[in-house]
Amino acid sequence: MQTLKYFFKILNYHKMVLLIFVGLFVGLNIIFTEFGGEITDVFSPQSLNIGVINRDDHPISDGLEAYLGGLHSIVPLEDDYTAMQDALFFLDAAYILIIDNGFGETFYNDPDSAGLTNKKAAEAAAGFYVDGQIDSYLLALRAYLSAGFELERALALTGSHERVNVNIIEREHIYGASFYFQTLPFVFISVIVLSVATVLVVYKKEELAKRMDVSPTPKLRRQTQIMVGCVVCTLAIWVVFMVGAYLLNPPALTSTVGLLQVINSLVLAVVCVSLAFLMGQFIKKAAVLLAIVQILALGLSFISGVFVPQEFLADGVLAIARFTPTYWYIRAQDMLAAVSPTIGVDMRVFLQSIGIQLGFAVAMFAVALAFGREKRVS
Amino acid sequence: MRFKYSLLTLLRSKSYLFWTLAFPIILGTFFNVAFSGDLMANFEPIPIAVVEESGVNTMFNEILHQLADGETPMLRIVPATSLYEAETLLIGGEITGLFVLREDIELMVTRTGINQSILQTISNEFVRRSATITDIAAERPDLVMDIVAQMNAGIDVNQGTAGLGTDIVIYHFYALLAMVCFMGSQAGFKVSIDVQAGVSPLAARRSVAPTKKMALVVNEFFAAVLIHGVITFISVAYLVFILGINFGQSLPLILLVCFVGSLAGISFGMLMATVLKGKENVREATMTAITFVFYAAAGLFQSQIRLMVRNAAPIADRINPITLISDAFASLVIYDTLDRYFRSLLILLAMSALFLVVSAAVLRRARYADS
Amino acid sequence: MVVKIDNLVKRYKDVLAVDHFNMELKEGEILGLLGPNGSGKSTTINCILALLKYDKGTIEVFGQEMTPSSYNIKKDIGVVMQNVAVFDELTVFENIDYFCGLYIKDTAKRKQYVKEAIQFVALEGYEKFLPKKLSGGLLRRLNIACGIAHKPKLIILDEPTVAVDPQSRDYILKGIQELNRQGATIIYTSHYMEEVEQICTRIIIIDKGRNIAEGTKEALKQMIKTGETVRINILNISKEQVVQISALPNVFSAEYADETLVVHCEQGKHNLANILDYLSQNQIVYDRVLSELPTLNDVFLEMTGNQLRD
Repeated sequence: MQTLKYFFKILNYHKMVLLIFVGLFVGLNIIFTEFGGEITDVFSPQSLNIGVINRDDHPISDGLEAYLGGLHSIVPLEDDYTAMQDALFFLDAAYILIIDNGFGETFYNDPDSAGLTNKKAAEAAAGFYVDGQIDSYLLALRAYLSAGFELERALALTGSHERVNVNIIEREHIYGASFYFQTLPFVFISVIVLSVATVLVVYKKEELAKRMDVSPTPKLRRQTQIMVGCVVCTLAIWVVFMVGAYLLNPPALTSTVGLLQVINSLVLAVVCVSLAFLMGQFIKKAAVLLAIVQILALGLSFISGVFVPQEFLADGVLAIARFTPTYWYIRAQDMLAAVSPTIGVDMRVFLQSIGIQLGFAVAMFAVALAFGREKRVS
Repeated sequence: MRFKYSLLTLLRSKSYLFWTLAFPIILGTFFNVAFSGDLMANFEPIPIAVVEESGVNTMFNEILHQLADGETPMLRIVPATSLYEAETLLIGGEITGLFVLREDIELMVTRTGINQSILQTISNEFVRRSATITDIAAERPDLVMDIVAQMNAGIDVNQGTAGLGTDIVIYHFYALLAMVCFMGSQAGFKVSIDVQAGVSPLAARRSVAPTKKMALVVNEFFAAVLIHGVITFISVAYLVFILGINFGQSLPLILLVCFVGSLAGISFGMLMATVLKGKENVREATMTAITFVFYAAAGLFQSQIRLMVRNAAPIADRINPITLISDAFASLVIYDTLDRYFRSLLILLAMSALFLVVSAAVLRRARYADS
Repeated sequence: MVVKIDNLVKRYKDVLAVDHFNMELKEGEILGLLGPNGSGKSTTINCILALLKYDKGTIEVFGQEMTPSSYNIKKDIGVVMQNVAVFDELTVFENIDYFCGLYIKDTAKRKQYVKEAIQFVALEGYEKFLPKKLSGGLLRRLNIACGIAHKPKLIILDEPTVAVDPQSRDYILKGIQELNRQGATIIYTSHYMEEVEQICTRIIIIDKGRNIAEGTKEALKQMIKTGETVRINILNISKEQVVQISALPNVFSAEYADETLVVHCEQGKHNLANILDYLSQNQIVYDRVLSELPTLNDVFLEMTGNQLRD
């Protein structure tokens, strides 16, 4: 067990580095959880900040502006291109409606030849609702006008149409599934690979490797011990993350869903260390490590549905993602997140996910060990 | 001469160059593929339930059923015999929305979201149209049919985006390039370490050479900036020509950002290597950690974080180098004046200058190789 | 026979690094492998250790063919590499203990061996030091300790004294002789002829991957024409006089440059006397006189036309 014992001593030498990385990523994950929990804000048409540039002076234009003002918050905005771009870019306004001079008059006389322009901010989806609301208003107004109603009356009626009462009921989050676990693929790949590979590259130093290879202790035995060391190190990191999860939201660990979530994350951690171990066979210098980790962590996370939910990813992407273990982790996590008193845990999905992830891990460990056999170099 | 050697040394670290270039190309491709998804492509009929407690709005119920029929239904109606049962379905997540039809229409949902918004739109439109028709029918019943037809034909007044909008998806690409610039921090780190005799054996050897430390540093520094600027530019080229991302029309301006951004990244790396104390690997890890904080604060992982930073500590957003670089790229596309562009670049240059001045000051003072 | 290499050939793309090299190492020898940089010494060593593939030939260690998985042979071999191969993260003690542990499983025995190894290289007091705190010489000693702690029967040292201070170098050489006295057979590669002359019982000269010559140092020196080299500081001497000196008995070449007369003579008793006589007779003023016996560099020079050290 020499190699294992000294693995930990080498690890100990680098402990500050590991502490920095673990601290960083636990912190980041907590931030992700606090801010990322509900991405749906992006799509909420409840009440946006919008801008209305009203260059016209006509009751119809005013009516439209007032109508929108009743639904949303109108932010004061200068009629200036840069000011408008600024507002959109920095999301001071999600939508800007531009009513040109003469719009009202044109619409009154010939609705179908009138024109409005708008600009939408990054969250384009929210903007479409405002489009819809404007269309809806104008549609009704046009109807009244076509039926011969007077302008003032038409405006009054259109502006007073009722809105459906929307009642949001609280769904209690006692089930345990936590967004904290949603972002783990990114975080685990980063922290585990960075930490483990930091130690693994030490063994790759050419002269050291030679000295070890000429010894009568078979490389396989040494490598296996190193592998165990890496796994132990990863488990320690995993525990730290679980503590973080518990502190944020105890049911995340203690409920049934929570327990499954924890198991899923443990399996993910094992997958990550197997990936790190495999990479450790190829990487000789620490300098390239960061670039590779970023590629893996960000790349896999994006296509597996960590930052962009799986339901919004193109089929082609998902097809590729199915060949990655992180996709399956997210699939199980999504299932757990949907659990409620009426929707139970889908054990089939869970077990399938665990199984596939473990399969990846075993394969990667095996390839790494096979690759690191003793052989003569040419 | 020395510059040439510095350049060559960097160019020969092939694996480093390869992976630094591979990063934006691979990720750019991933982003492109991930974001090209049509939000509505996987649209599934929205599950709802309808509970009719009074007959007043039966028509709405019928319309809902119509929307649930046909080849591409928008809705899927889940049967529920009582309000309680329906509410259970709602809380359980089996339905997205519950319509309770009394004198008026009530929509119950558990959260805000696209589907909920769609339901809201459907119902609001129904209320509006039926109110309008009712009003018109009271006065001019003869025109009702025509008006209904007219409404069904829709309206096309609101003609869409004037000029270029902004696109959060594109922002990710700009942020990606900012990351590439900041990968240069590793090179900058090395430049500084290699003249700190107490830390690096190469440096120790150089300390006894009759060359001023600064001369060495300057040469290597500029070599690093040159190479990183080129790498960043190649990444831009890939994004523009292969992936079709918009970076605006001005080649020199794009090039300028690449180099200023790289300058910022490299000088940041130098600063970290110089100012932080401790073992080399600890300093490097700290530098990486800080860089990740920059990334997060720039909204790279979740855009909400950037908004939070802007609201809570606007200064932080203004001096976050990642934000500055990506904003510089973005402003070439979004704005028609170069005001913002130059403002971002100026701040970046000022930061780089600050980093360099501090690094130089510290490096100069260190005389004795002390670890 | 400890090591037997038969017609070893190793090619790196177009370059023939080892060209039908032969070597036999008997128990108890300190065999020197002497050759300039790039002559194939390290390549041969790496082939012996089964670290490198080779194209033709056979290598036997302790009578068996050497492969990467010949663990029973490996346990009796100790290696000291050219570049220091220690863990920066482990202390002196931990480094030696780790590497010894790859050979010796018995904890008590190993503890003893490590202690002895530290004593052997005189690193007592440095057990808890990290490598970066050691000077070059001490680091080399650590490097050696890691290679020999397990008391191997065959020790291979590949240029172990590069960039080492004279005091440490001397120490190392004496240590190697001591190991030999204790029963180890040793292969010692170097391009420093002084070291090889000092400790090796038998020497193989290698150049461009080929055997050039082999034998004890005396035997090698007998192989060449030069028996003695005389150098004399002379301010003024004419070309004809130099030619005449070269015609003296046993002299086979004489050159004059930079105020120094260099005369290469064959083996003989009166070479110096003859030259000095000639100078006196011709009233040529001289001051410093140096007479050297041939060195291995002379051997190498004569056999290959090149110097050992460039």
